[in-house]
Amino acid sequence: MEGLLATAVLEGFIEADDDERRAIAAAHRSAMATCLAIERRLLTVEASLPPSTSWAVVKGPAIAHLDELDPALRSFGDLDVLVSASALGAVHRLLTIAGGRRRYAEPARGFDRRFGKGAAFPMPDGTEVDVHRTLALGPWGLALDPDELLARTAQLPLGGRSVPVLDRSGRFLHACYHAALGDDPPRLVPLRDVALTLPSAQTWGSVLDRVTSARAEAVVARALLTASCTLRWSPDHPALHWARSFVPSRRDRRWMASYVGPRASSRARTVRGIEALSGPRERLAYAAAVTAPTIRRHAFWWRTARP
Amino acid sequence: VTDSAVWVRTPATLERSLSDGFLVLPPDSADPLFLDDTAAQIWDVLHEPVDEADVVALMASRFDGGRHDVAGDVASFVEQMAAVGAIHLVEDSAAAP
Repeated sequence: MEGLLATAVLEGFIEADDDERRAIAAAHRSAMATCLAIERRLLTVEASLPPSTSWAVVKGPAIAHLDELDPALRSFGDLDVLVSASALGAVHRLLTIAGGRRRYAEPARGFDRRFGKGAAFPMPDGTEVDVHRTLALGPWGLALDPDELLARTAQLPLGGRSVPVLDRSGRFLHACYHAALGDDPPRLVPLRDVALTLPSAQTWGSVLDRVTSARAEAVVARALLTASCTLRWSPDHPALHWARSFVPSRRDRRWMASYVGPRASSRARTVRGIEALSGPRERLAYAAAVTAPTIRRHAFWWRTARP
Repeated sequence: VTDSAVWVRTPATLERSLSDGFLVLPPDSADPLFLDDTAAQIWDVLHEPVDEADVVALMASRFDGGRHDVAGDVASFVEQMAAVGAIHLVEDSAAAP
């Protein structure tokens, strides 16, 4: 929020003495230096990927340059990219060759491509690249078709290059996932992203079709209502009217409870994830994959405990 | 490079406009440069191809310093920014025959 704070002080919405002004300006400069380093990393990644790779930048740089009034108003701390499952291995290798070290190993062979949310790669220059297969952990991440998002990208001109980003409605959808299923209570930045990326009233119908096909009505409604309430933001827009009248299903409530509230946990999301998958084979494979680390751990203790 | 060459920002240079200046990350620099005061004004002018003499004239009109002093400052700034790849020379299309 450094950019917004600096602007609020500059415009006189917030009073600050000289020391405070200097501190706020320094914090803003530091945040923007981080953003520029991340954009440099983004250009390196873009230049390294084969043109046929199906991928897109999500969140930070995309919203800063395409949706925010001024990119200096939107800070970000890492680079998030959405990558088609078929290209995940190639992108992971590319980042590893560039000196990145994956933060957590793949829990089971093939998990990344079929069920994973993504993997984080801290890079030698201090930046971090988060490579996402889908937009959320748990059932809503598994219910989403990432290739549908990647089929509709826009282009971000940056540093003399052209970088793929999600289109406006894709950015809106992601902002809703981030705001509704991320931190509880939601942070202000993703809520502002929801407001910034809200599609036009004319296109709302087609966006709602995408939301419905991702079974994400409850996610989007929660994001819109939370943004409206927290930011005191109430545009006369069909999306807000729809969100106020939306009634979540029993499945929506079950799934949402795994993300938000006293029963929310990683384990609950993992269990509910089974419900998002279609067919017994897919569900069995998922169950085997998510329990594999536990089985391996128990097997290790069993082996070492034997005389 | 001919006499009609002019300076312009390198497209690969990344930047942010801040309330008190510009933060610029040139392609050949690991760390961003913070440009304020005169440097920020020169950088602002360089968003379009511009002759160094025109930059000097513009800065001289904005500041009290003599044209000779300004010319030295502009030359120093241009040299530093070119060294890190933030700006480069291009042929002036307006001067083309």
